[in-house]
Amino acid sequence: MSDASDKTQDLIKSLSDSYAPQKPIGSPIKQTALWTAVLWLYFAAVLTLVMHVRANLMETLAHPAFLFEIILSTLIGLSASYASAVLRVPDQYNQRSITAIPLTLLASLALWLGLQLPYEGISFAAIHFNHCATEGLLLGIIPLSAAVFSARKGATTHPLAMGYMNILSIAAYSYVALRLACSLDSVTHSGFYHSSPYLIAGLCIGFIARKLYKW
Amino acid sequence: MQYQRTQYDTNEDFWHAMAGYAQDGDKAAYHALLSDLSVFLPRYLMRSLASEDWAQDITQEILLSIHKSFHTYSPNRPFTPWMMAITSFRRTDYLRQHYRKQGEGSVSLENAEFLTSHVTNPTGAGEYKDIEAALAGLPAAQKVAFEMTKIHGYSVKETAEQTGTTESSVKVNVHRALKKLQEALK
Repeated sequence: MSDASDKTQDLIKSLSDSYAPQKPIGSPIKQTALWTAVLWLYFAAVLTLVMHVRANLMETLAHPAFLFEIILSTLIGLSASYASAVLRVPDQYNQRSITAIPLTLLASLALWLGLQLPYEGISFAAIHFNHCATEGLLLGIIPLSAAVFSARKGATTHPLAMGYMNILSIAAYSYVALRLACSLDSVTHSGFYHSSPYLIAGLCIGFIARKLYKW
Repeated sequence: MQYQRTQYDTNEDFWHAMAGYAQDGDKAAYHALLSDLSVFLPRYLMRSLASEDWAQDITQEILLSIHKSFHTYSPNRPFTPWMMAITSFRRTDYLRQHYRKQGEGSVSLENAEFLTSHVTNPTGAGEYKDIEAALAGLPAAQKVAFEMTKIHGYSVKETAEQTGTTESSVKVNVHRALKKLQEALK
């Protein structure tokens, strides 16, 4: 038997001796439900104590376009959270194309917002450190850290996809929270200030995903 | 308790059973599972690797990964797809690190020096089985055009004259061969 083969046998003995059964990872549906519930409790606390909902919320919720945007973003958040849960397992529960759903919904939202631009007109006010960007960071940093920490307990074989789904789920939910708080309905405002912290975070995650989700 | 592979009909049946017992805390079943995988994995990996030592190194990494990620396996699902996902991941990771260390980087298929010193050179043949297999898989006209222009250094005009085709046809065949090789070696 070769040296390498001996090492393999030694490794097996060591792993078997040190083996202790761990609690199996929960089903992706349970994980998604739990994650969404905890996240929205956090958002509710931030909205109530720090940000405050917009004064004309009830009136705005009666607009079908606004409601459509909120529902679509929520679906993006839900599907991206589910995709993250699925991606924690090496074979993704045999759901290889799971990321197609949130990405398709995201494309639909982008198209929806883009179609409104000709009606609104594109007006770029001087870029400044708007309170929406800071509130976006407040909504996003802790949940993103929690999402990464939780994902590292899994064993993803697609670290880049995992990173993007983590960011997308938090960005989508955060977008909903910001739309409930910010009374500026302009697409250029919400497209830039509500989304930009997450775009930057997504770029960073893209570069370090393999190291971040290493197991 | 002694678990025997022969008591089960297929690899999947055995692995699935052992994984289930192991998750209930049976160390003997866990040992039997890893031992059987240590026989299966090198044989499986050798189909696409040149070196037995590489196969053993990757096997060790896979066994460690299985140990670290065992909590992500559910006994109500088949074991093989879960294990093969880890195998594929670790194999790719190992080869990526190996080639990065070697300083090969990505070499263009138009690099004639690389092709003559590795692809057609028998001493390097084993290590580049993948490239040679991809070349062998090309249609005859594309293979001839590619080898004559990129490996043996003939011009497009000379290749067209020798093969009795037009220069456009040679260029098209070389282009298609490059595309097919890029797809095959992704």
